[in-house]
Amino acid sequence: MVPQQSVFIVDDEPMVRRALKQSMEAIDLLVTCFPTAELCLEALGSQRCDLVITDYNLPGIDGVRLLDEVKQLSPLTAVLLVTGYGNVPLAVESMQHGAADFVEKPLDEQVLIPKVQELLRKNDRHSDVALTPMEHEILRLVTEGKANKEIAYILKRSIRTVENHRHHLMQKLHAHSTAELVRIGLLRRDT
Amino acid sequence: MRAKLASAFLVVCLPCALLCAQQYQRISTFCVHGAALEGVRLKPEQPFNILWVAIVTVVIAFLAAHLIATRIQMQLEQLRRGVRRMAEGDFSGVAEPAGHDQIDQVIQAVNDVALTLRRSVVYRQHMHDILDSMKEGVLVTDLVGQVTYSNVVAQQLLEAGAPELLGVHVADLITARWQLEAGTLRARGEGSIRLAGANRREVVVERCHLRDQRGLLQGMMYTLEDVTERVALTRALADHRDMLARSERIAAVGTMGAIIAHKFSQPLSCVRLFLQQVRRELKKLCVPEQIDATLADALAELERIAALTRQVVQRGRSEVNHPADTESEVAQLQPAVVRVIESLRDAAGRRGVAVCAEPIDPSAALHCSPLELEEILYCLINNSIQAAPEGTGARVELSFCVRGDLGVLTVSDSCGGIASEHIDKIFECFFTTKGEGHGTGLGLAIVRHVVERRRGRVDLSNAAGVGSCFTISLPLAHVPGSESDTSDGPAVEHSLREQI
Repeated sequence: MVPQQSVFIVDDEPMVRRALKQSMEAIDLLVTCFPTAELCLEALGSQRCDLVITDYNLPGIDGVRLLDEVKQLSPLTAVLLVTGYGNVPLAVESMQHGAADFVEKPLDEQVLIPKVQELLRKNDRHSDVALTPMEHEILRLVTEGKANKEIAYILKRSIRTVENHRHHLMQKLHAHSTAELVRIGLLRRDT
Repeated sequence: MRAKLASAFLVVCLPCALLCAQQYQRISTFCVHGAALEGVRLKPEQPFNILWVAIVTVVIAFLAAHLIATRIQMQLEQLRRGVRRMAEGDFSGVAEPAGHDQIDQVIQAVNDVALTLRRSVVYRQHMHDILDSMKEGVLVTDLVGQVTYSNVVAQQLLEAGAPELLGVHVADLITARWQLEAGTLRARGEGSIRLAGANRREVVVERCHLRDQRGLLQGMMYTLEDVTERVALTRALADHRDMLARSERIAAVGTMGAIIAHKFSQPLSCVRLFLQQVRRELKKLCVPEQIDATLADALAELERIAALTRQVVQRGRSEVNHPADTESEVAQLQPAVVRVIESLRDAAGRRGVAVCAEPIDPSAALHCSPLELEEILYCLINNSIQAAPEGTGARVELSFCVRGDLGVLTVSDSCGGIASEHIDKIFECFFTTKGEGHGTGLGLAIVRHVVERRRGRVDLSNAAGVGSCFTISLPLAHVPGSESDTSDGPAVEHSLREQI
């Protein structure tokens, strides 16, 4: 059974939190709400989270700083930033800081839900791909930071064979770099 | 003169010569007698000799007299010519005195007079040069008020030469109501000063007394200062300040609107999300279609509020962050007209107003943002519709033409016009004649602000009780028909002839 995906909602307005929570629960997500960024970061250390939906204007740590913190604490968690209408500079800034996407206020389910689903699908996509036991093992070792030579030694295969497997692995997981491969490896390990 | 002098000399010299001859004869006689006594025989002189001596003496005396008379005559002639030259204005002096006699002293005295006069003339010329180089006009009058002097600037201002002004009474040149300003009498304002010529200038006139060294009044001096340019500049500056103040007000309103709209976005988000959730849940429960349709309507209205909020936020932001970029932003006129007329179709229909647009060249484009252009059109047409008395079959007509590098949009209506007491206020922020809750009083203020920001202008011609006509001139971004614009003009024109 695929575990339920988890979403954190950060907004200082209780009514907005409630509205967002109900909308997210309607698409079978596990929702946790926080009134401040600090509380969200605290929870991020102990709970699994696939997506953080945060307002930009927050008391204390604002949305963009929360984004930075989330990227450090949990690189695999996507962040969806809620901004005021037409605030293009802020949207650009948030994307530069690694936000997966942004939505404009006033919120609309017809815009919000497809974006959330798309982001979760991206995060989830890699865990669905079936890997051979050898590929699985190589992914694990790559994630642990092993070089091809070390992997070849551990698996008692030639370096050439390991390279071939690794190439297929990257193709299967749509990874374009070792860093991305490590990220996907970590994600799969978590799930 | 010469004869007089000669005869005077003759009168003086002849007795002298005769006396001399007589003395000579006595001496001769005495000598002859003396010689006879001493035994010397001298030949006695003849009386003939005595006559000769007299004649020679007379001739010499006459010649001497003639010479003296000639010299005196020459000096007097020089003096006469010198004085004549002085009378003609040449103060270079009479002549150099040759000696120290009385005539030379007279010549020296006349030379001194010439020098004094020459200095006085130079000083006078210098004074005139100074007065001519002043930027103010100067008129000097005598005690009865007749002009005795006018400088170049005064002549230019009064459009008359110095000889024409000379002797004219000042009241014929300047009719002013004088008032005391900072200690001097001043006449100010166009109406108070009558100046000749077609070029009406605005002049400030000051008047002061002219007194001599003893303090006796000699006349009056008037200074005329041309303040036409300064007044025009002051007016332009005041207009510019007004525009800035208006812009600031509009910007403040825009910012305020943006803040309010931003605050709206929170509750709007909640209401919309809740409504969408309720609708979704109700759909699962298979409620009647009507309820779902009602919810859909509610959501559509919410979308309108959201769109309005977005618009206000955008306006506020553009006021604050983006000063008008007159070059890069271009709005196509025709689509804007179509959209605005379409959006006002229902409102016009309800009041029975016909909105017509003349065919517009599809390539016509103006330097402003599309949103601004629609805002302008929407405001003007909507105002006309709302002002129209119901059921009178009023019309709103929209036309477009090109004047130089400006595109001119005209929105004219037969919706009753604007009351004359409101004309001055209609472009002010928060002024509205619409009922409570129906108008913000910002529409026309924003129209003027947007148009002026884009270096255009708004003109209004109004017939109270009949209708009004707003003319919007904006810089053309694309002159219709200037390139190979062979688009489907007639078809679009047809669709533009919207009758609502």
